[in-house]
Amino acid sequence: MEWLTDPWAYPFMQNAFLAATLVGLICGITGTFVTLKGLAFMGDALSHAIFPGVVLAYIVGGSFLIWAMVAAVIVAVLIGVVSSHARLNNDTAIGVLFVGAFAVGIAIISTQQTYARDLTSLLIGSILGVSRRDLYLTALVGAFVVTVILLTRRELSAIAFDAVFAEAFGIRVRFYELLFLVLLSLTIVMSLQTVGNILVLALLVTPSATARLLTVRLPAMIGLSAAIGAFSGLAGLYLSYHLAISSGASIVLVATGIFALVFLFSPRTGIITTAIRQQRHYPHPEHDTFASS
Amino acid sequence: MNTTPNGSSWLETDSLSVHFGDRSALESVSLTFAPSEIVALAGPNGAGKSTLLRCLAGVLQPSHGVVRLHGDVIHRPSPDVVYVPQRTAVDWTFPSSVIDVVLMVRMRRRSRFRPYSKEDRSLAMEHLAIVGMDHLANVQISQLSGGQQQRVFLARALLADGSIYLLDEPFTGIDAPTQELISGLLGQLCQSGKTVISATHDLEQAAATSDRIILVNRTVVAAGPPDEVLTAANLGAAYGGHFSALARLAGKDAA
Repeated sequence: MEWLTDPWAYPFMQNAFLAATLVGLICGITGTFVTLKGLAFMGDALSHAIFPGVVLAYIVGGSFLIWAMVAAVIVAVLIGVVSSHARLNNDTAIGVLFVGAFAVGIAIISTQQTYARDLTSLLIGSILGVSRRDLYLTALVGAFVVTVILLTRRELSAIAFDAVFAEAFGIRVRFYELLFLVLLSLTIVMSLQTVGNILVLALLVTPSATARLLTVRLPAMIGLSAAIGAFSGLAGLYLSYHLAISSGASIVLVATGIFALVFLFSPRTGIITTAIRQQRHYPHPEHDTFASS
Repeated sequence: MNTTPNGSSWLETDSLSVHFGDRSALESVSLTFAPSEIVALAGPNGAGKSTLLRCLAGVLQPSHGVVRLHGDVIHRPSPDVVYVPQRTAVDWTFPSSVIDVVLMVRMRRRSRFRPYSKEDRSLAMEHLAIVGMDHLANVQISQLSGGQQQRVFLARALLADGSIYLLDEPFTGIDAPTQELISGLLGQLCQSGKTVISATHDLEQAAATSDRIILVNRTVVAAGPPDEVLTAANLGAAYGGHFSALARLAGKDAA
């Protein structure tokens, strides 16, 4: 029991636990649509693209959220412009621009005296530094993101299922895709302090990919993904506290571990479970009729 | 070349051209469609059939020319035009059940703050029953056969209830009973005053089930009743010289 209650004695740990759980939960929900729309690469790109904004907020001061959103919008528009060139596809445009934006961020931060430490905390997060105020902001942004996703669930899933039909049906596909990119950027910015720039992608993709293996119903997938995300945040922070390892890394490792377990042993789709089931149905494949001929 | 069954402007394209970059997909296509007719858009792969359907659906804006629906130039999709995508263009592993796919078209009538109502569900079930899929309403869509997938799409299209139906390859890769069911339902739509336009590369199917065939290969090669359109000369023009077998078959039909 002490193992569970010990960390809660410190106020900064209380904040950290709440932040980790909240971020896991919200990333799980947003991540469901990232997985369904095949936007993992875009998520990765956005998390890097907002990096110069975060760096500027860090140096110049001001709200992380606003700077990061400005950076995200600029890069998203540039991706649109570059990929509209007939010879370059979307992936290429994303690839070119996100590394470019990331480099701008590193260039700016390298002008600072405390370069190495600042860079590390931005890249892998600094969850123990989460203040009450940060926590409120996370909760507020998270509530906004989740509300908008739930209200636009039908449009988002219609577009993920079949964008051309959605468009023909009168859904403004471009508007909803842009809206989703904004929500995705907000989710990423909100998660930066907890898990950092590099690991946020894991919280967006891993819990939802796990949920996808477990269910064929969208509402269940959203719920499971949120639950796995929240659990990863909570359990990861305990691990980090007791084993003295980086919190961002241990949160992601818990999520990855759950994914691995489900991938191997899930009742319906696990690769080991499936192999065992097949073994039971066809116990001796070599004793086929062919063997006698 | 392009027949006009009556004078009304129900749905028409006026010198429609579509270019993708420096590639031209459609060149000056002018067509008129009337109520109560079944039209097949036929032509080889890459002839621009899907592109033309997308223009008619208001999803793709032509590079030149216009599409007019009930006399007005369309700039975006109209609820009166129901589009049925090609079966293979869709992610069938998506976490949805059969009834979820059909319910999609009730979205506009339902507040985003509420779940679908009993009425929505019973309407969806009714339309699934029309295509003989009501017993599979709660099945995950990845478990459907090609014919079943097409039936679900048709149920959804019927529930959407427009006056013009655009279908992309509705008969491709499906079983014979489903083909029969679908062509029967399309016939009923036509009798109730709707226009049914389907893209197909199956000329026999098109000849047997359509009032009019439009042969397309980047532009309109020929348009009219099947026996007038499916001549060796027209097929040669649409498919190139290699399709002599096709041309012979059509020559027999026309004779």
